[in-house]
This record gives sequence, C-alpha cells and structure tokens, in this order.
Amino acid sequence: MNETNPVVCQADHVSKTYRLSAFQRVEAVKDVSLTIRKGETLGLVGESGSGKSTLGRQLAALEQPTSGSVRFEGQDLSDRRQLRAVRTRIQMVFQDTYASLNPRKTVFQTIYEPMAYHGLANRENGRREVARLLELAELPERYADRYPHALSGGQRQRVCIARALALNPDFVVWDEPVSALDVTVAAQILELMVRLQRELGLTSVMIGHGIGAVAYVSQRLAVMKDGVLVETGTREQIIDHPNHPYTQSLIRAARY
Amino acid sequence: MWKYILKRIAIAIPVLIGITVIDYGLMCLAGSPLDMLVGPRVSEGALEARAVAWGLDQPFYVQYFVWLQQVLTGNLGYSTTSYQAVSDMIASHLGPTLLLMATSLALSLVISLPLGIWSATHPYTKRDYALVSLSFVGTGIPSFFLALVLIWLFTIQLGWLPSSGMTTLGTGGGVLDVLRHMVMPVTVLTVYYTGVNLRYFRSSMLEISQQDYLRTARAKGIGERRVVWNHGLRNTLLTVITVVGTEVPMLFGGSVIVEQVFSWPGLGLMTMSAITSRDYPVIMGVCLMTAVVVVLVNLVTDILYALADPTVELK
Amino acid sequence: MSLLEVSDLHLSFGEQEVLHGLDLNVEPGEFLALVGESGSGKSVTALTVMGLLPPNARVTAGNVTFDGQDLLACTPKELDRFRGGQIGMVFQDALTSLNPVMTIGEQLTEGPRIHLGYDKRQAENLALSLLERVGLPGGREQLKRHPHTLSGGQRQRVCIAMALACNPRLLIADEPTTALDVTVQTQIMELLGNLQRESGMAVLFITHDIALAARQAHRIAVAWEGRVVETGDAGTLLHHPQHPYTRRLAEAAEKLRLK
Repeated sequence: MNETNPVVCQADHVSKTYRLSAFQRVEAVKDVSLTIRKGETLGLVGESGSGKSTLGRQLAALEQPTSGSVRFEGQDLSDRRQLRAVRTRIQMVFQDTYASLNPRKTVFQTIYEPMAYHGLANRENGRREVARLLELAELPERYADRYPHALSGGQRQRVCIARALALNPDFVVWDEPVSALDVTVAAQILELMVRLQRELGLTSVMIGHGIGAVAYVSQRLAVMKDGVLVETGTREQIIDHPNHPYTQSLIRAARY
Repeated sequence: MWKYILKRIAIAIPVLIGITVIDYGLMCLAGSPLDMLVGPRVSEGALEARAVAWGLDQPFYVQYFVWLQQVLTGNLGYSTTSYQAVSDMIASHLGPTLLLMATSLALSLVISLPLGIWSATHPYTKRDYALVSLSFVGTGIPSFFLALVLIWLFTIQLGWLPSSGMTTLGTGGGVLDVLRHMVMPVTVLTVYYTGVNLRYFRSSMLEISQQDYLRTARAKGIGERRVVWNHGLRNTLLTVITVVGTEVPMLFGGSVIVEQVFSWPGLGLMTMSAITSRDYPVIMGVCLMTAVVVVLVNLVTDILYALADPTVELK
Repeated sequence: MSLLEVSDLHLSFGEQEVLHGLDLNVEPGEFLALVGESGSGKSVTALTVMGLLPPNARVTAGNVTFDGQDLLACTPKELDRFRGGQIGMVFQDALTSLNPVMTIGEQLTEGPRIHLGYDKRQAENLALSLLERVGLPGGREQLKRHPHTLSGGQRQRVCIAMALACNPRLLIADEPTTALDVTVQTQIMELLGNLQRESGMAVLFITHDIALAARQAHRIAVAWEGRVVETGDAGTLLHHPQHPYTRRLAEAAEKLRLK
C-alpha cells in the first residue's frame, strides 16, 4: 500500500541539542531521518530519554531542529511563512491530559476557540461543530460544559483528541497519548485512534514506550535509543524479526 | 555545588563595583564640595586653587578612583553639619541599631518558627485561626502607635521602664540598664516581625505537609513528631533562609520610627536627621553601606541555599 | 487466619462513599494482586490499612485486621508499631515519595534505627545490603546520594529497599510500576517476585494492569466501584474470567499484548 503514496512528512538528518547552561548541552536527537507517507501510521518506540518526544515535536513543527530539516509535503518547515500556511494541518496530542487543558475553560471553549480563530466555526454553528467533534471522539455532548477537573483521564484525552481534530489536520503526532491511562481506558483510546485514522484518512506518528500499544495502531515502526534511530521497518518485520538487541528486549517486555 | 557558589561570588563583584560607580555619580550630581566653601569673602582665585588642590579638575574616572581609594581605606568623607568623619558616625551608631534589630529578629524567629509549624500541622482549628488573626494584628498595628501605647502604660502609668535613650543619663550604663531601655522598642519590633514571619512559616509548612514524602515517612512508622521535625522542618528551612535573608539587611537600616519614638541612638535616627539637613556625605555613606550589605547578604543567602537544598544546581 | 483481613469495608470522603463493603484477604507468604481501574477504590483500601487517609475520610463500617489485631481501632501512635516494621509500603511516584533534601542513606537507615534499634553503622550496613538486594549494588558513597540524581527506576528500587528495611511480613505496593517505562516495569515486577520468594513475605500488589499482575501474582482480586467482584488463581482469572468486568480487563490487556 505504501511505497507509492506521496510523502507527507520527511525528516532528513534531524538533530536537536538543548543548552542547559553555558557549559552543558544535551543531544536529545542525533541525526534521525524518517519518511512518512500518506495514510500510514508510524510508531516511534523508545524509553524515557530516548529522544522520541523531542523528535515528535520537531515533526509537528513545535520546535525547529538544530540541524537537518523537516519537510511537510515538500515544504521546509523552518521557513516561517511556509509553516504558517500549513500550521493547522499538523496537530499534536500529548501525554499529560491535566497539563494540556486550560483548567479555567470548559470543554466547549477549549474546542471552539481554535476553530473560531481560524474561521472554521462561528457563533451560529459553534455548538453544532463542537458536538460533531465530541461525537467523533466518542464523548457524549453533555460533557461540553464541564471543566477538565470534572472529567476522568480518558475523558480528558478524548477532549484533547477532539481539539486536535477540530482544525481538520492531515497529519497528527500522538505523543504517548495512553501512557498515563488505565489499561482498559488505554485500549479504548487506541481503538478510537485506529477508527479515526481509517475514517479520516489521517497520517500519524504514534510515540510510546510500550511496543505493544504502539504496534496496535501502527503499520510501520521505528525504534529509538539515546537519540538515535536503531531500527525501522514494517510492523511485521520488527515484531517477527527484530535485528537490534534493544528492539528484542522491548519485544520481550511486551510479551507474556 | 561549589561551581554554583563560585558563580554567585563572581556575579557579586561586578555588582559591587557598579554600586560604587552609581553612588559616586549620584554624589557628584548632588553638588560639588566647593559649594561648602562659597561665601562673600571667598574669591574666584581661591576657589580655583582649592579645586586644583582637591583634584577637582581631573577627569571623572580619575576622581572616581581617588574616591574609591579613600573609601577602601575607610574614609567616607565628613558630615556637613557636624564635621565628624562619616565612617566614625556610622560606626558609633551601628552598634545600637544592630543590638536592637538583631535581638528583635532573633526573638521573633524563636517565637514564629515553632508557632508557624504548629499552626500548619493543626490547620483550620480554632487555635490556628487565633494565631493567624494575631499575626495579622501584629503586622497591621502601626509601630508608633504600639510604641506610644507601651510608653503610656509602662513609663507614665506604671513607671517601670524608661522611655528614651539607650542608657540612663548620668549613670555609667551597664548591661541591666541597657536591657531595661531595650524592653519596649524590642517588643514593638518583635510584634511586627513575628506577625510577618509566622504567616510565611505557616504557609510554607502547610505546602510541605501535603507532599508525598511526608506520607512515605509516616508509612515507615517513625512517629509523627519525627515526620514533622525531621522531614518537614528540613524542607521549611529553605523558606526560613529566604525570609531571614530579606530581613537581615534591615538590621543595618534600623527602624526609623521606633528609633525616633524611643530616641534610640541608632542608624535610623542618624540617617533621618542627615536627610532633613541635606547632609549629603552622610546620606551617601549610609547608602553605600546599605547597598554593600544587601549584596553580601544575598550572596550568603544563595550560598546557604546551595548547602540546604541539594537540588539547587538544577534550577 | 489470614495475615491481612479486610471485611465489609465502607469508606466515605465527606458525603461520597467510595468503598461499598470491600472484602479482601491476604494469606501469609502469598503474592496477591488487587486489580482495578482508577476510582475502583484499590489505592484507598491500602491507605486505610496503613492509616494514611486524608482527614476528610471516614470509615463508616467494616473491619481491618492484621495478624488478628484490629487496625481501625489503633491510634496513629499504635499504628506506628506496625507501619514500617511489620507492614511496608511502596507508592506510585517514586520521586515525590522521597524527601528531596535528605540523602538516600538517611532515608534508608531511619526505619531500622527506630524499629530494630540499630546504631548508625549497623543501619548503614543493612542499607547497603538492601540496595544490593534490589539491584543497586555499590559502596558507601551511594548512601550519600540524593533522590534527584537517580533515574525513575532506580528511585523506585530505593523505595522498595526502604519498605523492606525492617523485614516486614507484608509489603503493600500501590501501583509502583505505573509511572515507569515498560522495560523497567518488567524489571521491577521480577524484582518484587524474587524478593517475595526469597523472604516468604506477603505482597499486596495494586495495579490497573491485570496482565502485569498475573506475571508474578499467585492470586488476583478484581476491584470495581468500591467492591471486590472476583478473586481467584491468577492464571485462571486471566484466561477464564467469570465476572464481566474481569473479562473487560483481560480483553484490554490482551489487546496491548504482542501476539
């Protein structure tokens, strides 16, 4: 299915270094190159400190790489004007649902605000649009007037998903969306992700530290350790024939 | 940790130098020393000769260095009203101020720290509300008002305590005499500082009491007393250092109002009269000293942080 | 007689009842997993046993006995005889569970010095051997380290060592692996299983992941909405769940498992 689809996101020799102080630097991502084609989900697996979340932020253009480039449909995202043109088409969902939502805004306000700003909704159709998105995220409409603290972790994540989908993105980066959730809720959210990707034709990057969860939603997998990409391949290739010892240990941890 | 301390010291030095430059600049703006000599019988020529003799025709930075040299050897100039050396004046008034302020501060810490912790470990009880209300009163009551009330009660009505000065006129002084004179001014100051500090310590301890590591400590069955005083207190220490760090510079400034009301011969009183009589050398001398004290106290506070809080290098 | 017996426990926070008659038994020497989602009441049960509930919590009915002793009737001071000494507890977030300004040596030696009467030297030796047991071997310099210099997995190992310090008969672990990476989760689980087999102590392991629990647990108790709805042998429960909720847990775990 994949080799012929157009490339949505292309990362070439991306590196990201953070300066902690005048003398200390952290090389979070070292020379990573990835290709993501339309309609596919790439799973990015690694432990804490592997650089996967940092790489995710580069791919979603929330940060600029220190060196190398990230292209979205051929456009170099380091150019501000080009980035602004495609900004709404790239979205991100995060791990910490508490921190991702403004505690002083209702669910409705959180989802409506970006839509109103970009002209995708107005006062007349706002309610309807938000209800549509909540339905997409499998959250009953009556939750629209609740505040984040009155929702469970899984419900908050659905709000974040509805918000991410509000701007009709083509490309979504999911940064450990289920790591903070109970197993039963995580399973539901993963099912939702699979359904959304199919129904909306999304291209995605799914980031996680558990290869079981990541593989559930991905067709291709990439394994990261200490800022470096150690192995990539299709899901079947990686799971049935892992080459790198680190990949093998990840798979052992997920099997029981 | 040592890197952190060295960095802090390294930053303090340019700040100190900057302070001296600003201080000197302000002094020059305030007026030339020649102004003191101007009079109907002084000729232009004489003024000019003086100017040369005092090096006033030299460029600014030369004059600055000459002045700096003098400062470093302890010469801060001479008062325009009393012609005393400023450094002598500061030295003689510093002692009484330090005595008064240090006693008040220490006393307030001894009272407010245990009470603050106690209040935070029994929050929202009647006693806690009482203590918090009292601390509001302590902070809010104007010091001169409290001072006058105390004077009215203890000097006028009861005749127990003297109301002015540091020693009784005519006598040699002596420790007991000074102590008797100290009781009321120290009371006024302690009431204020206790009020302020109690609230700080209480809220710091309250925040700490909700931390997970106190729950772990309880889970180890070491006893509630140890949980509060070993685990909790060591984390409150950081707040204590901060609060005391901001209050120590005031040790040197003194409380003008209290010193006025009780005629206590301290820096506050001295500075106040210098200001009203436009005695620039004295004013600038005190400014310089205060600024240096603040920088040094901040440095010491930072160093104490590094010693008390092992996570400080991360911040 | 079970080591820990919780019967018909009813617990409320203010007006809201969160435990509606929870029953739970832990036998001496067994590894029991209490599995349930957030809000099922599993963590609160552990806190009730240890007397660590927040001030607005009230036990409205039920019993908690440890080795025959009624824990609910104990004052905090009386509970201190059990806590740390006979019952050890490990919490979910290892970073906030450790005192940031104290060295790990100080925190490890505290319990033994109080409960076992050790002096400083004996307690330090014990601390070093504990660290070795939990997979953090090293010399005396280790004891001088502070929690923030360790990784998440290392911190959790320190917390486990702390809970084991006085050779407890029961170790309660409240979601100790939830905040950790999957690879580290496996290691910690194995560690707990090994420690349990070596020392013969009982373990009450609380988690939301039934498959993780089944790796080491002898028995599993499933908690749902403030009650235990099913208990049984771990393997049987995982592969042949009876109660519909247990089935949901098992199916979710199955989904995340690699085939």
